[in-house]
Amino acid sequence: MEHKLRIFISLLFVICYLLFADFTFAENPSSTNYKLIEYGFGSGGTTDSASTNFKAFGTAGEVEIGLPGSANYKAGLGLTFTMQANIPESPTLTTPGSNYDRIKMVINISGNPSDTTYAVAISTDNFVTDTRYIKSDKSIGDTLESSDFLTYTEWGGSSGSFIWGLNSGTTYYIKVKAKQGNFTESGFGPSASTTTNDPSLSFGLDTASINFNNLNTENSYTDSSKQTTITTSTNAYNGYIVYAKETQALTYSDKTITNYAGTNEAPTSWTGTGFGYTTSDTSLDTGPGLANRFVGSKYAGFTTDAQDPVADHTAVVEETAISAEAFDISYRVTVASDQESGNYTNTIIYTIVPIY
Amino acid sequence: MLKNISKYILISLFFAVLVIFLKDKALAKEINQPENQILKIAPIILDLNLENEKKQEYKIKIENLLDAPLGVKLSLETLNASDEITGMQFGLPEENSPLLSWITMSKNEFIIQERNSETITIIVNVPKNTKKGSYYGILFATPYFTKPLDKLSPTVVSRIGTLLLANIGKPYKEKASKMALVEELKLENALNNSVNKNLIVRVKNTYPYHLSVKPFIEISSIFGKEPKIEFEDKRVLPDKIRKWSKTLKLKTGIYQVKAAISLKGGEYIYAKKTFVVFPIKEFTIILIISICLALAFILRKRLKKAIFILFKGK
Repeated sequence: MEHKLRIFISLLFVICYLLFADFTFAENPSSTNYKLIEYGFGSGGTTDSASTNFKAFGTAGEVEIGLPGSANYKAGLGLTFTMQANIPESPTLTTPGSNYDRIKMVINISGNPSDTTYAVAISTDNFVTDTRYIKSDKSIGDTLESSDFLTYTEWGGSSGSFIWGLNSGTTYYIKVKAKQGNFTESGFGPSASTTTNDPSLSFGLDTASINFNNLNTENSYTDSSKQTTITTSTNAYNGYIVYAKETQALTYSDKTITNYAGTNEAPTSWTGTGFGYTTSDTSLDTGPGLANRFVGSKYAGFTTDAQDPVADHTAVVEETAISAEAFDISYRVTVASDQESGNYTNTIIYTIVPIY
Repeated sequence: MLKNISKYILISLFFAVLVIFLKDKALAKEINQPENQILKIAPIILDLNLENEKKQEYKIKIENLLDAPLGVKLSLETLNASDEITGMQFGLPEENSPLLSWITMSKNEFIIQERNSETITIIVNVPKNTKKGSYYGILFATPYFTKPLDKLSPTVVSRIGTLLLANIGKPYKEKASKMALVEELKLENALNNSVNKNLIVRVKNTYPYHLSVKPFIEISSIFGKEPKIEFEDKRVLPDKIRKWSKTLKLKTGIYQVKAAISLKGGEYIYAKKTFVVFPIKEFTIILIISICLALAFILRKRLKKAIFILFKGK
């Protein structure tokens, strides 16, 4: 009986202890005006013990009180927060080549060491409803994976790299976060924004007609002094091609001057008679012929049923847009002495298209 | 009274017709053939995301950069893309491009005053039950002149083509390996003496929509890795192949080439190949010289005797 009473009293004490303990320790330290909402005890340690290759990381205390924060940054609690990489400041965004489907981004490392990796988020509404990520191929994807964290060097270093596959005429917001090993991933930093351009192209000819000299014995029935200058400005990423064709051979009444025998695919040094052209684009590489095939004043005849490339720009247009790039298409007409006299005419059409 | 009203109406109509007639004459007078011609168009590549039975509108701005008025004529033509040579064919019969028959333009012949612009609206009306996939066309802007061109000499005309690249329906999710394939991964001149080797990558689109493709190449040998090659991105139309190439300076050795072909959005297809870079011609010459030297050494006594006979005569 006495034994049972002891157990009962002990249980009573335990219950009372638990009840009071709850009241006693749940109350945070406070004074009349202030109260500690959150706090912890420092475990002692070090924050700066390093040799050439290794560094010990400890903490002499944690952030003790509350969760101070601003719109982009906040102070968290515990060792994990202390170990986090610095939150990257907003990246630098530009469209240096008046780009319309890409943006150049330079990451702001914000004091993070060189082995830090960065992930990038992108949005068209400043992350209200649209949040996507830049993948390892630097195009946009819906998900963020560990392979999408790249080093500063892989993001192009101080030169930056282009985020591609974007829509034209659209404002994009981009923000960056960092990590340096496990459990160190920071939050996203503040965003920067820029707007892509529209793909545009201007194309001009300096002439509307070609007035050849009278062909006679004095000029050996030849005129090779006339030309058309074609001028192009564009931000088209893959460049452009200019094609030429004629509506008919040079014709007077029912007489014609034949087109020169050389072809766009295999132009030749001038021999014989005909009407032909050569181009000053020494790096022309569009079409089935060899690259640079017109070098050395090689001539080809115009055609009516095909579009022959006469100038192009196939190098990528990324850092600088093409501005007033000019090429000369020089004509030559040589006829036989018995060619019937008359005004021979036709129409030459230069067509420019962007490369997709 | 009624007679008078009819008279007034008739006179008003006469003047209205006269004004319209004179206005046209004035415009025609304004666009005589200028010495040069230059137009600017934006956008020059138009991505059309279309849906069945839906009418959609797109704007194109055409700018006259001359100090004189310029007449502009718009026309639609088919666009047929060739493969690797980046060449394009246009002007084929319309049945090759149904997209053209779905398009109407707010205007297709107009005059742009000097240093001015016109914005035209392209209206695309996709009919019911149109097969999903990609469709293409090209919109040409050609300067024109109401005064006949000089009939005594050859004339020169320019045309600017705006690419119309349309997708009907949202491209469906598909495994990257089913969307494209690496048609070729090749190292040209691997067995030549030249240090310059030409790396070629060709990718084929096996998906019904056009793709943006960007190859990344990693080359490694026992001596380490070469710097990663990042090619430019190109659009590859359905069933077409596009080519990327780069000249590399590689010494004799065995190289492993890994191609990661990005199809955008972090989706890749992969290809891997090993190449032996070996100057076989140079090696053959060295081998022949070595064999000759070895034979000369083995047969040195006979050779000595032969030379002796050759010079001394016995």
